[in-house]
Parts: sequence; C-alpha cells; structure tokens
Amino acid sequence: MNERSSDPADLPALAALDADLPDAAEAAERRRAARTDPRAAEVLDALSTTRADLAALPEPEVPPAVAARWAAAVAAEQPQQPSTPPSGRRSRSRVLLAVLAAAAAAAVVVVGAPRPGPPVLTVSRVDLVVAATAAVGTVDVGALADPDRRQACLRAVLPDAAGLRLLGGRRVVLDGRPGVLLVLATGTRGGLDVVTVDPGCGPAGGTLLARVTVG
Amino acid sequence: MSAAPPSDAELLAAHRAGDADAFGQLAGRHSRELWAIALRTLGDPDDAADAVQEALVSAYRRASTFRGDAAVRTWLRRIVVNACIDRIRHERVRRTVPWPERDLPSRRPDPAVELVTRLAVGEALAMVPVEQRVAVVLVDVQGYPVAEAAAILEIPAGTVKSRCARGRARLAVLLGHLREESR
Repeated sequence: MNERSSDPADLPALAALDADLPDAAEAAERRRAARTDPRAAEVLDALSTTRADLAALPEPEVPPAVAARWAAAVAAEQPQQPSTPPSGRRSRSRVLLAVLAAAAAAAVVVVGAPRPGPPVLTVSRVDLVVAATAAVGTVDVGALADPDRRQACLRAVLPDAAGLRLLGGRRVVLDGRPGVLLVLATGTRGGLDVVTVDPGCGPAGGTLLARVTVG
Repeated sequence: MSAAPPSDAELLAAHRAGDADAFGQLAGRHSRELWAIALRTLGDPDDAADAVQEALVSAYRRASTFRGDAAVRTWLRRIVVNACIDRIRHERVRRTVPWPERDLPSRRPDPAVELVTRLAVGEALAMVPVEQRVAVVLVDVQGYPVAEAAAILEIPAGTVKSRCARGRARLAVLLGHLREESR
C-alpha cells in the first residue's frame, strides 16, 4: 500500500487517513488536499459507509446445540465423577454446564407447575436438543433421581447408556406423552446422549420414548 | 444486598485453585462474545463452533500458564482468535466463497457486474485476507478500541490501524460503495 501517494483521492492513502494512521501534521495536510477533490470525498464516504455496515452486523445468538457441545467438551476435561451426583451437594458438572448452557437461549415451551420444582416442559422430538440444553444443570427427574433406579431403567431400555454420567434432566411431556428427559455425557469431547424414558422406568423395565445423540 | 460477582481474574484464580465451578462461570460470561468473533472471522457456523470449543478447552487446560500480564478477557479472546487463524491457515474451514490470493482485480470489467457482485457484508469479510479480517472484526464489528485489539493480537496499535485500513479499503470495493477506478 502506497500511503504517500500525491493523489488526493488515492484509496490506500485515504483509508490510512480514515484509520488515523498518519501523524497530525500529515493528516491535516491530507485532509486539506482531500477537501478540494470530490473524488476524495467519495472515497472517505465509502469508507465511512463500510464501517457503518460492519458495525451494524447483528450480534449472533449462540445456538443451544452449540452451547451444549461446548459444555460437554469442557465437562470431558474434568476428572471423571461418579455417575450420579451425591445428593445434597452441587455437582461440579451440573454447575459448570449450567453456566455454559446459559449462553444459549432455550426456546422451550414451559407449561404449568403442578408441584414445587421446575415446571414440566412440553417438547416435541425436534426440540429435544434444545430441551436438553435447558435441562443441563437441573435434576428434576422424579423417581429416576434414585441412581440405582435410573441405572436399572437404562440397563433395561438402553444398555449402552447405562453408566453414563448424568448432566441434568427434566420431567417432560414429549409429543403428548409424559416422560423424563435425561442428559448424559458420553465421555467423549462434545458428546451428549439425550434419552427420554417413561416416568415409571425402573428395575421392572420401561419405555424408551426418544434418543438423540449430540457430538 | 448480594455480594459483587467475582471478577474474571478471581474466577480464573479460583479455577486454578481447584474450584470446579469457576471456569464454567468464566466461560459463560464470555461465550457469546467469543462466538461472535469466531462466526464473523470464519463465516461458517460449524467452523466457528469448532473454534470456540477448541479455545474453551485450550483455556481450561492452559489456565495455569496465565500470568496476569493481560486481562483475562483479552487472553480468552486471543485464544479464540488464534484458533480461528489456525483453522484458516491450515484450511480446516468450509469455504463458501473463493479467497483471492492477494489483491483485488486491477479494474472492474463492467458496471453491470458491479451490481451483481455487490456482496453481503459477511460474504465480503470472507474475501478479506485473514489478518486484515481479524482486525476489522475486532475493531469495526465488535467495537473494541484499537489498543484492546492490539493487545488481543499482540501487535502494535499502528499495525492494527494499518490492517483495518487495508481491510476497509478492500471491503468498500467488495460492498460496492466504491468503484475500483476510484483507487
């Protein structure tokens, strides 16, 4: 780039002027020269418009699925925890992931709260990943809060998911059917296993309503 | 009154001291901004997601090497910018438009083409050389002061200004605000 061109309308020189590159004396001289040349005014206007275009770009939202991937990736860096958070204590992963997931705005419909605790989520299959992101950091899984029951349930309906670390879960109504959504870390970076089972799932068996893997 | 939230430096120090919650809070505080930088620099959402993920994992692992000679937010942004640059230089990105080797064509062939080739801002950014693009993203898109962009990129402020100047000149033409003959 030749920033010392004598042409008052020289684009590189005017871009440098626009970027406040020349020292004060040179800048004053260039501005004086530019004022006498309509072509220079056109270039300076174009640079100003360009900066305005750039500044007007909207801030992009983090997609929930992306936030979930990041959360799982960071969780995978942590030392392995027992598959079930000890009751009465905050789970390290839960808190960590809850904050990361907060970066994403989860567009999940929330309906009534029939009892204390987080309200039941009404979701469709296409929203499961979004719902999973929202569920990370929350453990509202009814009877499946009992780790033995949950492991027995998973062994019955989805053996390859048994033993995976629980990152969160919510009671849901999935496509009209009551269920419990479980967000499980696969142990690989960025990997989530989102499993929805019926609320009565346990040692006697259960029903797998949906499964979605992420990452 | 609740206590003031911990500073970035306090959260990073807590993470280094073994507080398992601290890094998540820190990442959550900055992830939107890191996403914006990566998306504007790389153009492709999948590439941007990969770059931020790499950056977060890298920051998690390298927290012990942070010596406090820069703000934590500057450090995090530097890691994500470097992840983006690394992806571009190693061509681990999904190209959506051809990238010119160096300079723009010396002249525009036809005024009608000018209209056709008028590009959306995001597409135009992808056609700017990476060093200029990153400077423009930080200063013009994200609105960082030149001094902060210089700290993130670890280059002199004058170099940031120079890269912005070149990038804006190129963008002014790509966006159709300026005819090539004006150069």
